[in-house]
Amino acid sequence: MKALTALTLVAGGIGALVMARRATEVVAGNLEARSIAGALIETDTFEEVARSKTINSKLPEVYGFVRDMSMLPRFLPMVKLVNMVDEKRSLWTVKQGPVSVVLDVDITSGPDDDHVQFSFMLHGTALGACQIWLLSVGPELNQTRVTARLKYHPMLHGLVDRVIRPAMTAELDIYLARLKQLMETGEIATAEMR
Amino acid sequence: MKALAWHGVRDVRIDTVTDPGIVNPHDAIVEIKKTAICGSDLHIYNGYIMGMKGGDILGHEFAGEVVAVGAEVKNVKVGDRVVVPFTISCGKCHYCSEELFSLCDNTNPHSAAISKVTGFPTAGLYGYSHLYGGYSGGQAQYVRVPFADTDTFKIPDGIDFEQALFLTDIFPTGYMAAENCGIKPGDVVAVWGCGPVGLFAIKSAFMLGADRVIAIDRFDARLKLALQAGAEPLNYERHNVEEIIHETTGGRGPNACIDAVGMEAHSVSLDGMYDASMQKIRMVTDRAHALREAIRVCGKGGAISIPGVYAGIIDKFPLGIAFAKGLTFKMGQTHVQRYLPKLMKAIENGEIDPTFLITHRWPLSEAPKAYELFARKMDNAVKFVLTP
Repeated sequence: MKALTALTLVAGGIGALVMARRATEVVAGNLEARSIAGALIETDTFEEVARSKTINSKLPEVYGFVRDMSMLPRFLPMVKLVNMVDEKRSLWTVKQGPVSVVLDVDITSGPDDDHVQFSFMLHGTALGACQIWLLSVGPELNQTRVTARLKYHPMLHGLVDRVIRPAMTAELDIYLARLKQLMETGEIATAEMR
Repeated sequence: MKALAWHGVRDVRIDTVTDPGIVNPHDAIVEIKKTAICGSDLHIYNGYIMGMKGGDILGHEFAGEVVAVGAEVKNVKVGDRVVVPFTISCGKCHYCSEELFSLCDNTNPHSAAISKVTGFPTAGLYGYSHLYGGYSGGQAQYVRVPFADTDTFKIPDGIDFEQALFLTDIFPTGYMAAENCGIKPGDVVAVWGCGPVGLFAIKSAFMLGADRVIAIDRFDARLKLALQAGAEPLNYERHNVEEIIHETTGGRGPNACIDAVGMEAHSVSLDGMYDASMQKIRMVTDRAHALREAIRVCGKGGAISIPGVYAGIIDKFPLGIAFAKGLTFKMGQTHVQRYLPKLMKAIENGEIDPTFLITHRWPLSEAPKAYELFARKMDNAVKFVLTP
């Protein structure tokens, strides 16, 4: 179970297993695999987990931090290494529990610098999912509401979904808490007793 | 270094452990000069707090000298004499900026775990389980203090470590308990529990203008200290609390009631026996006799302030009675950083000497024995102060 959950989180939603198959059916074959996830996720086919936090920092600062690929491993702790391929594409080495994989990631930013979307494909395969970070000002001008969304395929409805969904929710909570700690205090709270 | 570590229910030992070091740039390392055992440490000792692991270092009341600071620490330096609040607060988040320091968003590394229980994370605490962050406590020779700029307070010349020690928790806790009552001049306040927090709540109630304070306990040594603090002692083993308070307040009841007892209330009443049996079979976590009694005794439109620690679920909570009487409830972990400077000033000005309740001054090496005595309320123990 732990390994399954880990794999799910690594891929940003294991529902992508089926999504990838459907993707190749739906999308005419010439599209590059890594762009399929982002395209399909726009449809209603996908389930979504979303969590939010309010950060005591201005929106441009938060946006800049989330968009800075060198900062990713600090608030997405399972990301161990980010290699930029070009401005919009990167390869992430991701490790969760015993599982280590390389993800091919498309990065899409909103025109108003208010959201960042990471569309994942498991490198060398057509397996993918999507993580979206939405930013808005408020409730005060120097604060930013951050919503992290994870999209995954509904094949996981039922028992598996009920087990994995809370794990995804908890994982998003951890990402958001770390981002908030880094933005507000400059460090991650660390205790000695483990 | 030597430290007092928890190994199981009523099993604490002095262990040799690794010295703490700077982990993050806002950390400081403090060499402990004085530390104390809190009544809430006994909840851990007695096995009522979840999330403990063998070897966890206890203690959240300590004062000492700074021996190292991280690169980003600006407000304290090596050699400073400091006192450290038991709540670990970042000083930057929304709650810290509202002076709600014990609700800090950023200091509990296990925020996801406690959020499953509470819905939201609360501040990390020293030596108080992994649910509250898993931070090592200060019943030790050294302790690591995260966010030192927010969480260390310099002790002025003229105040010794022992006088400053209780600013870590019990003095501000008693003060916030009294402040939560919204005391007006002429008010009558009743305080359940004359342990350290109850005694400071009594002193604070008078500082805030209470006319009378009624102090309820069963131990004569504690009631004597309450009397010396100006309160009217009431031994619940010899008197009917409800009748006496009703009569002595002209049938109105107190304007405010403070429950400084919390989750391990002693009682031989029916509800007390019910609580004890339910707690044994883990159907409830807390024995709430004192709180139930406070709700019944409190005057209409009054305030109930709860500084006593509750851990989880209580049964037979008389919400309907509280509703009918229009009571207001205030509670929670203390926002120590909000009160500490003001109370330090009160000590400096000679308005209060917090050492009045110390009954035992022992070396840290004797801490396991001190826990045993304190837990059994033997030897008239009110407050143990330990020297590493």
